Amino acid sequence: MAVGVLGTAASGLQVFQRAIAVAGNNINNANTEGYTRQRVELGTRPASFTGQGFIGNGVQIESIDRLFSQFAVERLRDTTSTSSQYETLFEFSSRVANLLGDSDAGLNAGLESFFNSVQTVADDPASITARQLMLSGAESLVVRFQSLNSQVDSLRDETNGTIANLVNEINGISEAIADTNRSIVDATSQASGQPPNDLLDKRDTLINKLSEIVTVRTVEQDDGAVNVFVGSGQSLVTRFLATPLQAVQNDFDSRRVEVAMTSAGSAAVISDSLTGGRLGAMLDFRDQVLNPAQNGLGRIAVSLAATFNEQHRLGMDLDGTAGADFFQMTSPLVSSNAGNTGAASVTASFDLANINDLTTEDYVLQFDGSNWGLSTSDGQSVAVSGSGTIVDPFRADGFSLVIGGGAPATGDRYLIKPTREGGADTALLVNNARAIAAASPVRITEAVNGNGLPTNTGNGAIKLQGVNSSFSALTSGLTFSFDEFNVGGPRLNYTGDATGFIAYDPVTDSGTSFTVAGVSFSVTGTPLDTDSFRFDSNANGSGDNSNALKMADLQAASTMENGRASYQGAYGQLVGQLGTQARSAQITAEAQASLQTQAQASRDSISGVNLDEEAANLLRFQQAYQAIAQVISAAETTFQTLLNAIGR
Amino acid sequence: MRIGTLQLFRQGLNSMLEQQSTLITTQAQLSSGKRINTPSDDPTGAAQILGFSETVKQTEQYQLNIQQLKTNLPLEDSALGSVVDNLQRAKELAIQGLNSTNNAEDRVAIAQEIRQISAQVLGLANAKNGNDEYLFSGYQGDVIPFRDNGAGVYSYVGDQGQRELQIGPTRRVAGGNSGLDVFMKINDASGAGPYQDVFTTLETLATNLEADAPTAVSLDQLDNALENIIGFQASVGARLNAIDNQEDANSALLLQLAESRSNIEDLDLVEAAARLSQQTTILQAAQQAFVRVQSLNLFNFL
Repeated sequence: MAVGVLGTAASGLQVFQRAIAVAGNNINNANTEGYTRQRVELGTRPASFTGQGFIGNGVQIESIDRLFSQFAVERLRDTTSTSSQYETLFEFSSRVANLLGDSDAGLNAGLESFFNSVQTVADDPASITARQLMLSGAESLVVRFQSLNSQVDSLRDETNGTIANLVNEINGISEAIADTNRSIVDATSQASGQPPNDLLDKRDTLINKLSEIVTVRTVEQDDGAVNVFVGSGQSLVTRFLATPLQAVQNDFDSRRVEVAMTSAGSAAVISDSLTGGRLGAMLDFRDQVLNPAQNGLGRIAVSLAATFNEQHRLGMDLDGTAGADFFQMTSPLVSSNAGNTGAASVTASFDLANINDLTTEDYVLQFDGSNWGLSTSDGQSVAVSGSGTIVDPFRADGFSLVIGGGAPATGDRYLIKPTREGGADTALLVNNARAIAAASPVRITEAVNGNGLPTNTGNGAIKLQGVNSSFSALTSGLTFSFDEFNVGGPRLNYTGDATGFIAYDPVTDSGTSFTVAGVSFSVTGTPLDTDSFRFDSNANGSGDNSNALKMADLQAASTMENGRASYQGAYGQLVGQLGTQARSAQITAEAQASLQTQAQASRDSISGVNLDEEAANLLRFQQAYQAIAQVISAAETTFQTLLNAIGR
Repeated sequence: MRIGTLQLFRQGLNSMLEQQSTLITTQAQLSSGKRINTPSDDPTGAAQILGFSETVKQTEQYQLNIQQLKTNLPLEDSALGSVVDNLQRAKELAIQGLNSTNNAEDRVAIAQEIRQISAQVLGLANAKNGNDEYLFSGYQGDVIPFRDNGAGVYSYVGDQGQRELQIGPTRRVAGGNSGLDVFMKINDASGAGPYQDVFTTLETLATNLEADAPTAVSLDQLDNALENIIGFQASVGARLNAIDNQEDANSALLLQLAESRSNIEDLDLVEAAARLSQQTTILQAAQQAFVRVQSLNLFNFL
């Protein structure tokens, strides 16, 4: 009997030694990220039957449990994913917002000084100094466009690089999860069903890390392995097998990195279905923040070049020559899909007459076998006019498309980015101060004699309003002569570079505007019969600032957004939009961070080590150990008593 | 609720980090004096500030344009004033010449003075502004507008252009007047044509005096010239007046814009300073709480 007591006590000592070891392990790992506290589950050993009944045989360890809640673990995983997504999105979008919204380094200050310099030329159009100022104002504006654009470009490179790095990280982690799956399955079978706690912790930590990068879903298998899925169910880990993701080139744009997965030998792009985590944030950032920002900047550059050039061409420079293009403007980018099989070629141009329809979208042109269709890059269909030929190109949203080359194949697609390179492509084309066309090319004078003395007898006057694009330089000029007594009613006959007449009845028509040979003018007052006026080339008109005033007017003119916004208005909207995106990412990031903290707290509440608790347990186990030791001592004393009795 | 020891540490750390981050934001605001330091601080406000800055820069440019006008218009005013003085002297001389007490020699002497006046008026009509442009040549600023062709014939070779300057968002003011309007387009009192230029008037007066046959028509003609030129002088005065008014309006607008911008962008310093001290206190409390809580441990008593 005493032997039985000793055996029971010895096993109890062993059990509590182990219990102390488990508590010690908990204490050691109190600061280990992802560690799940373990607990010794005690049970009674099977009793021995004696004639008097069952006698207990002491204590044994049933199992060493890992205290966790699958729900808490998954909630932590989800909130980690969303929180790191918005934190990353905020970080990157606020960089773009700060770049473009800076009141000194942003575009606004550049536009302001440029247009002020145009006013300076209007103040004193003959001054070469004022003209030089305008050229340097234009040059700094161009440099500002380019430098802002190149900073956005380097953010784009960084984004693409980060996407590629994250893909590598994902692959590393998936590999490790697959390995751990194998270890867990092996260990579980070797330990006849006892859980390999530390391996389970390790796998949970790996999945958590993966969640920081991209949202994943997991399905546990019966043998203890876990399958991991991303996106819309693409399998990243299937038991012991990890399927690597790949960073590949976009079919339209070799500079754009996409995430692809190889299955059955062919790589399929899955970027669009990936959400959450840092990778989801980078993909969202590129499409929702970076592209609109760069397009928005480019659109202002293109609109400015188109509208400013148009007005500049309508003017005349200091040497009497018609104004040339002021800013460089290139064509919209077109790239054909790598999978196209047809022989068509697509050429895009800006539709200058409708340049205020430009948007910040990218577009996809697709051939469906019989017709071409245009949609925005996110799939909204866009109405197109025209037939795609050179004489009647497709026209939409401020650009036009001509389809040339051979026959297209069904499904051929072309990506059109009208404004993407606008900021990069802008340049100053005028580099001679005298070539600024500040003057109007036409001068209107009332008739004078050889000494410059006016000869008209009435008080009629003709005032120049401007010229339009159908104007070409006057060679012999135009003479308008009033025919007061014409049978059909009084009229102004004109001869010279063009011949004809305009009806003008002083009683009813004073103040009316007319356009002849591309020259717009107003007629006022009462001319008398034979009173005449001359339209001549404005040679020597060095003091004429009328075209400079018109160019300066463009600053406030609603040249963008279908005539609803000025250049700076559109820029203000862009900065506001970027600020709003950054702001809402920030607010969501804060909210998600607090959700994550809560999830972490509830996970830790179940699985985290509490040192006070472990200290109390240590005390408890220590006391149990001491008590059992006393049992041995009692057994020993009893046994010794017996020996002594026999020995006597 | 059961608390993990690591969780206790994390929570203490997080609350310190959070307080530090709000403290940094307040510090950045205080050191810039601005409430909005990046567009995400207040996207609408940031876009509004850009709009204000555009209007401010434009208005400042209008003020510069006004300075340009304020340099050139007084030059025209003073040139016109001298022309008027000269023509009034010519009128006195014409009246004197008409007086029958004068003989032929006296009239030749008067004619000489008239010719000097004519030369002076020519000089004034060919005057330049501060930018070395002719005041009265229309758009052809570097073409001398009035040419003496000899034998008392003068011709105007400038044009009829009139430069306007922008002084407000919708307001332009003419910076000068063409020589044609000022010196040429003067109603002809003799009935020979619609107009007679001021030089022909003076030349005719001088020639008639030399021929000892002055006429009263010359007086009427001088009156027409004076009326025309005084009219332009008055219009220059009116324009200077209008410019002054616009300048005041622009200054008022600039003040108002600065105030509106400040309302949106500037920091309420008192509020921010109070916030800073409150946040400092909270951070200190969080730090103290952290140290206290971390030192609480059953092991200390074992």
